[in-house]
Amino acid sequence: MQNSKIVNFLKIFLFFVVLGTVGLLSLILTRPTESESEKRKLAEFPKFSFSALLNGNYASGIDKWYSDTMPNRDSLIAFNSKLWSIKGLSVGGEIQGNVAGGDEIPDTFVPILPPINNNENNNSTSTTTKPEETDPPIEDDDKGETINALYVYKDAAYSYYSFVKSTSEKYVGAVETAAMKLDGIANVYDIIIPLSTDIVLKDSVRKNLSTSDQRAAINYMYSGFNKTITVSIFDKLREHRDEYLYFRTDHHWTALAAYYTYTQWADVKGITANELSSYKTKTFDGFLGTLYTKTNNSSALGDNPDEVIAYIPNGTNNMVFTDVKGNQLSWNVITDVTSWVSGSKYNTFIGGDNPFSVIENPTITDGSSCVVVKESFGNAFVPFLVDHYQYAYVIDYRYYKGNFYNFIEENNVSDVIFINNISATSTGARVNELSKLVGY
Amino acid sequence: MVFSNLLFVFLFFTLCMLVYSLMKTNHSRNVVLVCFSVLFYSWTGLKYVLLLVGMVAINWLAGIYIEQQRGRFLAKFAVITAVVTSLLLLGILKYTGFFLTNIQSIFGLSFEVPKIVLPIGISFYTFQLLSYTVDVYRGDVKGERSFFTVFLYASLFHQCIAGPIVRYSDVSNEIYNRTTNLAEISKGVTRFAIGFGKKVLIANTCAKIADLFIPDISAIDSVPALAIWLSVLMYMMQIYFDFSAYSDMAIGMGLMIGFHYKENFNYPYTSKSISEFWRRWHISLGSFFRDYVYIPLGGNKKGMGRTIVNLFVVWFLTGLWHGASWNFVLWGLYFFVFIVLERLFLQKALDNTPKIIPYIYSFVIVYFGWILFKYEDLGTIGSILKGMFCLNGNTFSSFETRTNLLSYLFFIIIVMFAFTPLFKNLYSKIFRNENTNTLVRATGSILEIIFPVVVVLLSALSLIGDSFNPFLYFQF
Repeated sequence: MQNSKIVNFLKIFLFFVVLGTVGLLSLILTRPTESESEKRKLAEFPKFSFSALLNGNYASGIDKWYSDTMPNRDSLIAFNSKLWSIKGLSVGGEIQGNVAGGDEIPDTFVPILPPINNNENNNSTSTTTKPEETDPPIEDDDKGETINALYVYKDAAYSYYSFVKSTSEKYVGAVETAAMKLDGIANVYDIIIPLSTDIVLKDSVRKNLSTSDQRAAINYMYSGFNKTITVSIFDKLREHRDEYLYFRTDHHWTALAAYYTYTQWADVKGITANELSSYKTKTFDGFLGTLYTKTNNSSALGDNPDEVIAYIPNGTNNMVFTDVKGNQLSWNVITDVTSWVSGSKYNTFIGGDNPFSVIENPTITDGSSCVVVKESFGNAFVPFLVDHYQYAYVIDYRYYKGNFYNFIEENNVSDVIFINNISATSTGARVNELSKLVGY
Repeated sequence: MVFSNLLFVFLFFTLCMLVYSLMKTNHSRNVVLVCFSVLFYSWTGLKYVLLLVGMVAINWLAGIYIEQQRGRFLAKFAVITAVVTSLLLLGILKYTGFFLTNIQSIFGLSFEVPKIVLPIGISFYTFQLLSYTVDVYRGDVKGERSFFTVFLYASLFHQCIAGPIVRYSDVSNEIYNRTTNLAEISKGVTRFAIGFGKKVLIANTCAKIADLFIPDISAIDSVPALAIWLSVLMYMMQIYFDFSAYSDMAIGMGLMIGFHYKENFNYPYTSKSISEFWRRWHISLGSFFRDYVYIPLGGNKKGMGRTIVNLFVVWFLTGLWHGASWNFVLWGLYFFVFIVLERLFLQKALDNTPKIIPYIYSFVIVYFGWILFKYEDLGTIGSILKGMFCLNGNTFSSFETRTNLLSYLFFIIIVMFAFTPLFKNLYSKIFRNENTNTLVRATGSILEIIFPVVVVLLSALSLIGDSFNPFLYFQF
């Protein structure tokens, strides 16, 4: 049986009218230039060049621009991910991204000697290059923390962690190099932060996941340190696992988890930590972080946003940071982010990620100072140090361009704290950046 | 440009159809097609258009010359020159790296292997042009005087970059004189939408699932067996839905303007033998090798021994055509083995088994073939095969495998029916039945009208969703 003429006509008519209308709308409606939820600039229209035209880069640039900046893309994407939720069942959670198997974690650390000679003048700022230096150049331009696969369970997402033996060992070597070079000058502390998966996820669920054992990995790395003072926080966080230690929609930890870490560090250092109740707090709700975005704006997460609770240092809430362009800005240690977009609430801590920051505590005048060498997990930790030093310096090793050892000497720094989340210690780009900073 | 691209569907194709429909004469319509084809092809880089023009020129000149010298030695000379030159160009651009790395490993030499970017579609349009020149020589078609016509034949964006490999004899009349009617345009519209949907909604998703199950091939030893089986299955589906989608879209676009390209896929995964599979899979390639390699070599007319040699040559070349790497050759020869076995005894044996067995046999053989097709490295292929039977020390399943399977369960089930004619038959049975009542028929008509639009819009949504690429850096 054939279609009637009218059916054929209507079909063809509708088809081309819709195609044409969408085509026309895609040209006349305003195109977005950046995406709030993805935290990135969208593709730009390519610049014309004759060679790009010849080899096809110009055209592929247009393709990318056209599809990347579709008008209303954020709502279209959300709608699309809603439609695709019928693809199967999500009882027992859902996995986002590709799970990469980690290396086996050895029992004993095979010491790798940092490539400096101990007899050498420790103050030397020249970095000895090792002849066997074969590290590939840093290709990863992405300064954000790499988020591996995710496991979405109920209203929270949990990151997989894949232990990479060589990278983890290089991390230990880098921090240990700093500790050796600073021997007699400053104490070097190392803190490796576990991710929520091994702390707060129910054990009966956690045991199913093929993700590396974080406690074993941290213990392995810590066993490789000699001059560095390690701060073990895994068990401490486990004790408090029923509290709000990690965001459910973001890969970071909360300030509360950072507080417990701080008390542990204070124990190791032999000073008395402040009581949590001594701080004034600020609370920001409606936080939907990176994990929410990474799960394609999953509604299980979106319907249950996080709350960011921040503790203002007793001594001061003022700081100065230097941004990537070199501008100095006066800022607050804890900034009011109430009116900020839902994805950026973690930026309440020390103004987010900046190459270099200083917090001067006017209530202390003994000239004491510390340096925190960190990626973004450190941001929630820094405020707790403020009450113990006249100067708390913060170096984000991903962006800092200055001479690390000169800085420490010139400013009479007594404590250097390396603080990283465990995922960073297995991420080649991060460890390469850290190695560059300390000359390893 | 590729078909599965928002820019192609909503701007390029729409604009092409609009301009085309404004033209009154056949010639001006052809001019529109050539202009849009050049634009389409130049999208991959303007320099590749020059190559295409050169290739067409060689074969067009050969065609004219063969006509002039018909019956004389020089005609033979012309056809050989054109074929050798075309194949040489294809060979240099596609196989130089492969050839040189083999030379290196055989003789233990070390020199820099030049990296040549394969011009998109060259394997397809070279074969079209070869078939043209050989057909002219054989007298099956007339050598075309107009360069423009041969260029339109080879460059038409419908099939220039991903097939089907159209024969000149199939379209030569339609290049000069073609008509359309509502019924055919309507068929074309549906076919185009089906192709677009197959590519974007099915093939792309299958690819995603295949990667989900084997996320990192270098860590294959720890991948559970079930995950490997499912990953290969999804890859098998991806390849079919991807490739046949391009043919569907080409055929659909052809129908909209009066070109009738031959079918290129005919539910290949429902074959009852490997020989049949290759009569249903990429039909235009199979028939090319049949007409221009197998039969000229003597086909099956020169005894069993010679037949086997001829089949070997065909399958070696078929494998090599798919890519410049030994695993493709191996893949081709893998089919050669089964086709020979079928000719010798297997076909007879299969005929005597219960009806379902030949289907399962073909499906399984083709399934394992895709492992050879996907992975270039023999060591990896070995690990995959071992892993499928838990011989890598891997488990059968894992929490991640089960969770991933469940979260795509409905999709996978639908795909496992979608490669059969089931949905098509069901549709015909319900809505195309003369005896159904008016209500059902009306529903059928409405479905018919909105189906293409719905599929195209869903696919477009999916493509926009693919551009979702969170950059996980805290400030921007």
